[in-house]
Amino acid sequence: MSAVPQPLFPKVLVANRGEIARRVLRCLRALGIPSAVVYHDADRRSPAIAEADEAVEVSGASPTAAYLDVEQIVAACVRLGVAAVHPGYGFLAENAAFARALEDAGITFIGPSAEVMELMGDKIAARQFVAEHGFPVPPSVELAATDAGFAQAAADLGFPLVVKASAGGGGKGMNIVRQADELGGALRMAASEAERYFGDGRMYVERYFTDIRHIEVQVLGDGERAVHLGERECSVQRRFQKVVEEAPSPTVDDAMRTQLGEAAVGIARAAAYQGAGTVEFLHTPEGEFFFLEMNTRIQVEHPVTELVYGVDLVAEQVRIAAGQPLSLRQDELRPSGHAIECRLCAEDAANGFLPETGRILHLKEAEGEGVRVDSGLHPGQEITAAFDPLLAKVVAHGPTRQAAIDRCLGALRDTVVLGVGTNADYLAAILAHPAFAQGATDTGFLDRHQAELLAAPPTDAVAKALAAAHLADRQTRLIDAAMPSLLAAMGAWTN
Amino acid sequence: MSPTHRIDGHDHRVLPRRRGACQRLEIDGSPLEASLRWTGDHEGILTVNGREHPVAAAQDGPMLFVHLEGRTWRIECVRGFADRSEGGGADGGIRAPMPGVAVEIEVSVGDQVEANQRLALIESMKMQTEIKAPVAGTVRAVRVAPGDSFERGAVLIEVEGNP
Repeated sequence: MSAVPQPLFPKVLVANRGEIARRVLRCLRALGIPSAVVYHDADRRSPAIAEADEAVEVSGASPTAAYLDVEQIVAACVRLGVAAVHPGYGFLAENAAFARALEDAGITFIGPSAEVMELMGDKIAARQFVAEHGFPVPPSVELAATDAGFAQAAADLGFPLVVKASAGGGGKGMNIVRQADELGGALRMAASEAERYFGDGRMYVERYFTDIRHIEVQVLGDGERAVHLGERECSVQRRFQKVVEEAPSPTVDDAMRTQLGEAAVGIARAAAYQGAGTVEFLHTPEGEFFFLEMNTRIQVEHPVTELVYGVDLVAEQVRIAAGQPLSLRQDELRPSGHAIECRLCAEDAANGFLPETGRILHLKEAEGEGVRVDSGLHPGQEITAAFDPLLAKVVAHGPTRQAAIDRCLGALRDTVVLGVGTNADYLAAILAHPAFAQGATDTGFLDRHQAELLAAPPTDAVAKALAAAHLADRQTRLIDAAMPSLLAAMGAWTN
Repeated sequence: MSPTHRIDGHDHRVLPRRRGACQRLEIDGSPLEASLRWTGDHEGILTVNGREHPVAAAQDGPMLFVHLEGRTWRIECVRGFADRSEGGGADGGIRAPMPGVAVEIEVSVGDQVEANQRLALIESMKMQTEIKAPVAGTVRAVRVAPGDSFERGAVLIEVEGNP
């Protein structure tokens, strides 16, 4: 009999909420690590609180501010005797100051070093770093917008252009410019947005490619070695926000997978990268690829990689943070089958994708072979404008791409969320679209097929739904209950 | 009067023609026989013209949520005029489609505006949305300033349509 092995950390705190907090807590439980989670009062009924061994309330001027409050969260960690913190994605996940504050308190940040986060978080510096190491970056204007010659340099690059915030990422602080006279206004607007979101108004201008593919490579590094876990295709986007992701990409063959993988691993190695990271590339129809950015966190869409490679990426993050050398070997990492993820969001697709709010009145999540739902939902939950509209991720794995599509479609149709509008029907329309089945999914996909994706449902489906609504309506039921059976019979008799 | 059922801004008519265990309904002019048997608080079996379908339904005031055959429906049951609370009302008030914060207000009282002209920019859940004039007319009131937060349905700007 061997002794019970020591956990990797005596206690880990999750500094996040919603689906990703629950996903990380699930992993900690599987690893036998005692867990804690922070929560704001708005999330006091979240299942994450019961799923963690300990929960500590944080407060702030807004719920988001509470989850961004470095001082309060570090103090909570010290009080609870936490050895390490998992930041999830968003909030403090790429905040170097948070990583440093934890380090000062003797607590491990589960992620790369603060220096690497700063390098990759500054998109201008990251581009330079990547270019210096010999990897391709998109053509861009290197001058600052205030420098003489900037307008000429931008015009020389050719339109359309994209204006990006240096501190941006995840699609925030980006603006497309289609002609020269729009450039000044776009720069001002993007800079003000960047100043507001990131407190850093520095901008850069890149050539904008329409109808390209957004392909990203998952990497894991322990500071010395790095491996890649293939690519994810994330081209189905709306306003730079990913909507559907899949692995592997329907357009990447083995040779290109090796090429992209080697580039991503090369960048990770050059940065002595520790933990899980994602290197994003643009892939043009001409077959070129360019470095876009590196995300130094677990990605929203990480489950598709996990399902295809059979690797728990969060567990790998925790092991690396605990100082264990990478146990995965590149030649042992082989993709199996295909996985697709849909982002279930509280938004009204039929009405300009406006955010939806409401209370979850009834909830039933999909299950079944190959189906995985990472969800932050619970019955009675108030969906407010305070947080990102992502409610859950509906993911499916199958032996072939079509099998994954069919399973994911089935899972979307089995997902019942009543009380707040969601984009479930829109997601189902994407997966059911013939162009999606063909893998013709560049960044122009959603705009190109918008009319079909938002087509009105068939008349007989509308009639059935109206019949259900009428019969379920409390007022109808009251009338029916009050109606003597005699009168009902008379109704029949009059016919 | 019997209510109007609104789906995505389209009005539909559901008229009960015969009540009882199995109701005869006239939906947008077409007859249909339907019954609903509850199997749980929010789940049941809907029978339409003899065919059974599992259904889930929940109600929040005038709003009915229905999940049927893989689709989710949000159906507003509008009884009379008092329930007209969304969008541009007869009073010319442009209401917030969602809770949020005003980012930019581009018009002042007295301004002439065109239909679909951008009047304001609001932000909710990190997403910015343009507020546009529903009709050509004159701005009669501006109820929010940049930085102000508001609830869904709050009147942001009032525009009086041109005669």
